[in-house]
Amino acid sequence: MSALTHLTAAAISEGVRTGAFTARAVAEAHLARIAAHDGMVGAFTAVTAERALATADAVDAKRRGGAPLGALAGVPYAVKNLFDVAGLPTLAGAKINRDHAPAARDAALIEKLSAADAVLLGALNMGEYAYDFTGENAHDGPSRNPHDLTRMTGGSSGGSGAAAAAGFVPVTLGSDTNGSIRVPSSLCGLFGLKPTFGRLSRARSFPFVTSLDHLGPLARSTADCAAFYDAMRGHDPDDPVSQDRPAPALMPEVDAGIGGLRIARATGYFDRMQDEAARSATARVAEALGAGTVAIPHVEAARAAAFVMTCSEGGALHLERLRTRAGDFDPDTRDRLMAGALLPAAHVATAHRVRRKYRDAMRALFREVDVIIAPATPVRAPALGQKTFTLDGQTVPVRANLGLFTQPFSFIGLPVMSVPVWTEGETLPIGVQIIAPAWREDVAVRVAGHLERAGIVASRVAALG
Amino acid sequence: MPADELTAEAAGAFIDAMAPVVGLTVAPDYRPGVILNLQIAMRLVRVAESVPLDDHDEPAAVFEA
Repeated sequence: MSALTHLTAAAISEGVRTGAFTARAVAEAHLARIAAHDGMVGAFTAVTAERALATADAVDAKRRGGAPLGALAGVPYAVKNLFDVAGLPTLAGAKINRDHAPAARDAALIEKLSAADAVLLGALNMGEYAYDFTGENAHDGPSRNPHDLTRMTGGSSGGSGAAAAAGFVPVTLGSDTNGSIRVPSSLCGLFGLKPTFGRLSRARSFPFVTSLDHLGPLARSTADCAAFYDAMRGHDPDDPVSQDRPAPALMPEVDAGIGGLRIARATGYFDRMQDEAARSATARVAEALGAGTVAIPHVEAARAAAFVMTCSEGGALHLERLRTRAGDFDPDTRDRLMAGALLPAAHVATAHRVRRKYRDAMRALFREVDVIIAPATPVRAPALGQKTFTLDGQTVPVRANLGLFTQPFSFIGLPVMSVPVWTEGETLPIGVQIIAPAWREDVAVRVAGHLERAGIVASRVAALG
Repeated sequence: MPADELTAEAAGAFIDAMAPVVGLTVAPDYRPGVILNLQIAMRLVRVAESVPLDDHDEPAAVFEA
């Protein structure tokens, strides 16, 4: 029943609830699509079929017994392989982590989704230790863009982008330190929600840069992002940066409209560093929203400071592995981490001070506007293996620069949704970021929902074979 | 602010001095990549340091005693 693999999470949970189909049928359809096509896509590193079918059967038994079903009843999903999955070693994209003992317990967010009766189908490919914007991995092979298998998914949540775009699952979880949810969302044509820093628990996920790490969903609709966020929200003392503050549900906001919102498109740096695809997609979204323009203070320095913090903190986290197992790293990751481990501390301390100053400037800016619009990536999906591209007349590395528009916002923890734009005649999408003030995921979801209803942004399941 | 551009030669000398201090061995085949990434990082250090900071611009630490 291949049609099941083209449904959103909302349609699946509704169908399971009403008895239109069983959770087992849904799980089997998705597992069959994975079995048929993942060999060429490279999204999964582990498929937990036995667990998935057992969970699906338990959901169906609950329904037959008249027990209340969770909000995500029977909805298949999969997670970037830096989430702990009980019984699997947590790879974080690394050969080195294959030596780790299997996780004894699921990551906190997986436990929340289990409580909502969602069905985990497996763990997903990713750039090594999340230090990546390409979706390539020297150990597991690249995750391939389902809309063009010769192209990158973006990373580091590359498998998360590939799996949702391929119709292997309607929703995936990724992590975003500098853009690793929003970059693959852009390149694979998905809705991606990076919530406010400290909003969703990172407990029992493998860290990268603890000052900047976020977790969140990638999906084929605004409502599915909202539904997964709603199931996963809540304070968790097991994550040291988790904030204990109210987290209202987002589902009521999806159809709330944009009335009263002051919306502005970011100019300057963003105009300079993009190609025509990013420019036209952002312009189309801005026009649909009646957006004005805004210049973001210190934005280039903010991106630079995020880069400095990332390579230094990442280098420090992996220092012992760099000392003892350098040859087991992905070469692209190793060289960046080694450079980071050598960076003088004074520069890193300065980056932290820039972070606060920039945050204060952005807080002031958000007194004048409610929403900022900016491209998610400077280009559509580059070719697999492509090492450089040209932006603003300069040839720069792809790996370090696909996220140059996402970094300034994760740097200060702002909630952002990436929404997918398709141009007629083009096979590849590109994303636009909707950036809201801290703790106002509701605002980003209202805008994304409005754009989706207006037909300006949309996701689609890739045709495979 | 650091020097205008970290040359490959200067980056190599920096690696030779610092890597033993932090206990890293930068093998010959890693060296070009580490040099390149140090040059990129130091270029971005200069961009980050373009923000004027005074003595009271403190970092936003999350540690609570």
